[in-house]
Amino acid sequence: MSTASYESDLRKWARYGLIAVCLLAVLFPIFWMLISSLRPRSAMFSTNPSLIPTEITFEHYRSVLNREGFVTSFVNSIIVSIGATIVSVTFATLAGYGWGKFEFPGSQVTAVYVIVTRVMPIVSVIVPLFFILQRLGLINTYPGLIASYMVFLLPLTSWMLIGFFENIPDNVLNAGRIDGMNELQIYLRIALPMAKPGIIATALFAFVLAWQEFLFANTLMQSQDLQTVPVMMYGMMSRYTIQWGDLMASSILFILPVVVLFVGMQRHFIRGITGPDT
Amino acid sequence: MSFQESARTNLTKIRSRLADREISPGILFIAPAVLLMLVLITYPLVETFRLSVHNLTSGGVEEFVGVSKYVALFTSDWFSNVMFNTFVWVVGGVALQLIVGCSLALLLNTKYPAKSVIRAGFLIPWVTPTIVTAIIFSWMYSPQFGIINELLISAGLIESGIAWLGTTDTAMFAVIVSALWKQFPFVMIMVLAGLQGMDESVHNAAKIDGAPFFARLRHITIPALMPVLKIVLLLTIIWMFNQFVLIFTMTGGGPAGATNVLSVKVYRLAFEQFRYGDASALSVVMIMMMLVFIFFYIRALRKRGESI
Repeated sequence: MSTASYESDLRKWARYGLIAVCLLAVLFPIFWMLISSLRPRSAMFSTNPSLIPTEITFEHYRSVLNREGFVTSFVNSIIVSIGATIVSVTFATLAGYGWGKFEFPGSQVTAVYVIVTRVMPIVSVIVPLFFILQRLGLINTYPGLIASYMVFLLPLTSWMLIGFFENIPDNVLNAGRIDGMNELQIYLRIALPMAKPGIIATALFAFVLAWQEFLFANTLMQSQDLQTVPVMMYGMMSRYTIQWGDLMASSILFILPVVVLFVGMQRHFIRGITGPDT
Repeated sequence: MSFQESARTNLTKIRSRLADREISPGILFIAPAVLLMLVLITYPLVETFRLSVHNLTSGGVEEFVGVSKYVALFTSDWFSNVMFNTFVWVVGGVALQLIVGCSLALLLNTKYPAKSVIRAGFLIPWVTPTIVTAIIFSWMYSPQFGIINELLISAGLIESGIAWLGTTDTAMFAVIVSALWKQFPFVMIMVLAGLQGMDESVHNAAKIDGAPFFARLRHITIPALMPVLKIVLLLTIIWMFNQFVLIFTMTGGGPAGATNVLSVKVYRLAFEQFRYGDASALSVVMIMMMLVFIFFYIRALRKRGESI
């Protein structure tokens, strides 16, 4: 929609100003987190904090990096998030192709099943899931936690990928069939490469969701050296005296990978939210 | 014709019939994911139902107790409070997110410099992990050193710091605001995509005819956006209804149960009081409510023309 041609200069600048004010308000919490992570401990608790710090220090970052278990929890988060992303996207690309490109008895019913599972409250399955994983000896293990992440990742990634595979024209796939490829070859050599942008968007989504997962990690990883970062930070948060500076520094370190991914691949993210048609 | 011969012809008939009705490759492609979902989601859901009508006795023996856990639930002193809190949390949060998200989408659907950078800036809260959202807001709400109190005091609006998360009157509002910050970009980007897919010519024609902004909004933009808005509304309701981390880490359901919503209560019953049966019964209540949202969600998707 172009409004520029009908708009006076005054209104145009008022609009720019409004956008700028809104953006600053939205980004203020992030800015405040960054400032708080850089301020010396003494300035943290002054009764009249200035918005721009007069003195910058990295003491909180040093303290956090030396904290016992901090680096371990980062390694745990990386292993679990990457593992969960790979597993869910592998299963979901197969499933998305199956639902997106084939009609078979039960295809509608099973697609509705995906939607239902996608929005089920996670707390409603966590008790039985805990017992199942316990019986299999998977509590306190990476595979156990990765399996539990499939509860929310698999329906979501499958659902996203159905849309992306649906957009591949049937003719292209039929051309492969005429050339004598079998169904698996068509999937691997034609469908997968054509759905690549969608697969990237889906994988980014899966990673971001796995990276911030808290409920399963808090419940299924009970030993200290298997904690993920969100669980460790929750521990820091629920102490009697909270080291806010350390918490801010670890939050900054924790959101860094996600923000870098997001800034680098913004278009994929947006396609992931709004679907394949945009 | 001997018996052997007729048996042989029958056999070839059956064989050819089986060959004709070969399994669609689609089923083979979805099978691994469906099997995994059956094991990891459906089976636990069924177990939740089973746990809600059985008593686990000390020897691991189960006795069927019918709906007695549900009766206990509905007559308990906390149930109506939890339902009320959930209602306020979902309705308040969804309303704010829709208002802010839609307004910003309209604002950003205009011409301005550095478009993609600015749009990315508005999406940062949405990629910020939930636990970090909880931490930032807890820090900003801090009664003694929180920036929100500092700003309000220096503006002369309040005399001394308010414990936003520690006061029963303000806690719910405070967590709803943190949810708003985290989730409005989702509404914004969905509506923005809907706006960009709209036919400009109708809009421009109305403009030339002198239709004012709100008239255009009401008679052109909103009707055209309706399919998207319905889906956004339902997804936002579902997100709020299922949200656990924000409330659990910021207030833990407190103070004095003021932010105790269904998801937090289920978790507390199960993993703090070890009342698995009651937790399961409450889960079933949650699932039943969720099924209503799902029904409308699927209907909205179908109306929009998706093949389900």
